[in-house]
Amino acid sequence: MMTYESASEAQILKAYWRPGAPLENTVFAITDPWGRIIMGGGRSPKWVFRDSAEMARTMDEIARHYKGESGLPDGLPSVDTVRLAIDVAACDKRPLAVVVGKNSEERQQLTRNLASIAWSDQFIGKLVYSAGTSFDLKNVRGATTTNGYVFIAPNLFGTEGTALMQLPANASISDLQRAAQLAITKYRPQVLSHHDHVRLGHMEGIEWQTAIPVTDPHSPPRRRFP
Amino acid sequence: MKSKLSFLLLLLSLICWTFKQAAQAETDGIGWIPTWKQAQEEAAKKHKPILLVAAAPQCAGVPGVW
Repeated sequence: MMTYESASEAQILKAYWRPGAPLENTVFAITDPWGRIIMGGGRSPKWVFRDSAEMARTMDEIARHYKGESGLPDGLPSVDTVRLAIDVAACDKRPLAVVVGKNSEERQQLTRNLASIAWSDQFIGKLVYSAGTSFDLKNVRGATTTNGYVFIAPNLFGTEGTALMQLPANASISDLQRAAQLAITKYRPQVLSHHDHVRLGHMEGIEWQTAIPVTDPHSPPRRRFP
Repeated sequence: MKSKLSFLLLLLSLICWTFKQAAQAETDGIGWIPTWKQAQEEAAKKHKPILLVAAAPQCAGVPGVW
């Protein structure tokens, strides 16, 4: 989940964080399958567990209480908007795959096709996904498709992207697999330290508008470098 | 001389192995579900608990970094 990018999700995060306290930049929790809290009140697993081994043991212990049906998720793990997805892809240093169509009906079948590869061993966690119209691709250089798939390399700040591959709506699953693999291979993200990234962003006048105001009292101020 | 060579080969193998592991760690991924709605639907359907991690995709107003 992306903090400050959805008012409704912020209400959920506030409840898992510390009821009544302002929402901070990161939230960590474990809930039951219906969203009831099992562990919460922390900003990250590091606040709660000594190390990854303790985290794994605790997760195993919690999972034992639920029957947990096997099988992969059905849906495409899709970020709500293409604009936000380009940013998330830049944060994750992953290429982005976008389903493009005029309306939700047009995008529905394409989304199902892409979902079938998204959860495969080959691609799980290696791309970020979203869906939208060709208008949503206005910040993507070289994107021309109005109905199909676009594989995108985000820029350093996730404000723009470049089309790496485009496929038509009638692309087969194996076409999608080849394009996804090629996008992963071609994408070479620029990696800066956290400090250098923020400093360069300020120097270049890059500014992100969050969907709701940032309320973290520990959050560093904007534009420290005039 | 022979033992020095064996040691160097062993060291080289260890360095290669370390780089391979580092490269693999960089390319492995977690299949996050990015929205609460989809995550909760999936969890309820599969009867699995939810590991929730939220982060702001910007720092001090600069995007592209968690």
